[in-house]
Amino acid sequence: MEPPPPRAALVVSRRVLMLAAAAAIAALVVIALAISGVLARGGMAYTLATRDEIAGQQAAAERHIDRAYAQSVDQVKKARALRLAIPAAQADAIAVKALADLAALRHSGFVAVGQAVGLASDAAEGYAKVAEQAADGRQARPQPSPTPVLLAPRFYAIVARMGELAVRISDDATTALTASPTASPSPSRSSGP
Amino acid sequence: MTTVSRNRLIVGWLVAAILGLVIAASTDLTALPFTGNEKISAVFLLDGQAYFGRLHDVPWSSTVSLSDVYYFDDARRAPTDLAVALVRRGAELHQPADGMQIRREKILAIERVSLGSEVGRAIAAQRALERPASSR
Repeated sequence: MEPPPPRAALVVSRRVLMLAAAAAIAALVVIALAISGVLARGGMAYTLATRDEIAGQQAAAERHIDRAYAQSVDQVKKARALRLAIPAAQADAIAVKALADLAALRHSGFVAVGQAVGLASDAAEGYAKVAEQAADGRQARPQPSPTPVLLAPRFYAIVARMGELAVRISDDATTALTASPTASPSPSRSSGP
Repeated sequence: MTTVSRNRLIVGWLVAAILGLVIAASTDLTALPFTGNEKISAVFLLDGQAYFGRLHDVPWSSTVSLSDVYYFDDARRAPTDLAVALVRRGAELHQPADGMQIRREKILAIERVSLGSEVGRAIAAQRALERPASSR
């Protein structure tokens, strides 16, 4: 009996088969890692701002703090300039205290900005004094509005808190300045005969 | 070269080519691990909210996950240049600690954030501020 005629076939040795299987498994593992994000999480670049970019953000934060201060100071001064019902001495005292509070608030805002960029307490105090002088100089010589900057969340938290407190101080002062001179007794119902 | 070895060679090249196509099609060459730039994504939801962060999108999951998450907050009352502010997620009352999962059916669009955009630069600045002062 004759053997069957040889047919065209792909003959693969066991060694090649094992190598192919190992390569396929390795490829699958790499693909799974890539898809699941493990490789990406492990090796993804992490963008950090440069010193110049931080300085730009810092300058914007200073500008916003000073804007909040200037708006509140302006409100207090305008309220003080009104013809008020309370005595002038009392009005002066209220206005002076509000302006002092606003100045202290701006100072603490600048200190917070200094600390946010990594300055120690003493250095942040020094930085705040310089920033205050620069801000006062800017108010004397108004400059064109710079390009809007989206603040980093840490700077924004400082600016937003500063703005909130400044509005509260100026609103309280305005309320006190425009109050009636003496607290008139509130009308109360008298019990009828 | 025998017919068998020629066949092996052809099969080998075919497998390599198919694998190469699959990997190339699923790889963002501008954001390769260890070498490329960072990829920050913006995820816009159907309700109008937008979140920014590192997107991990696994095809077989019904959710996508975002880590290092930021979002816009209303800043019209704050003395800033813009009507919106960028806020880092994590300071809410429940202090979410580990990113967020978003259901796919709630997503309107996903876009890539340019690193030179206002959002990209604000995120980069926030990260620099969060680093210890000694390493800046």
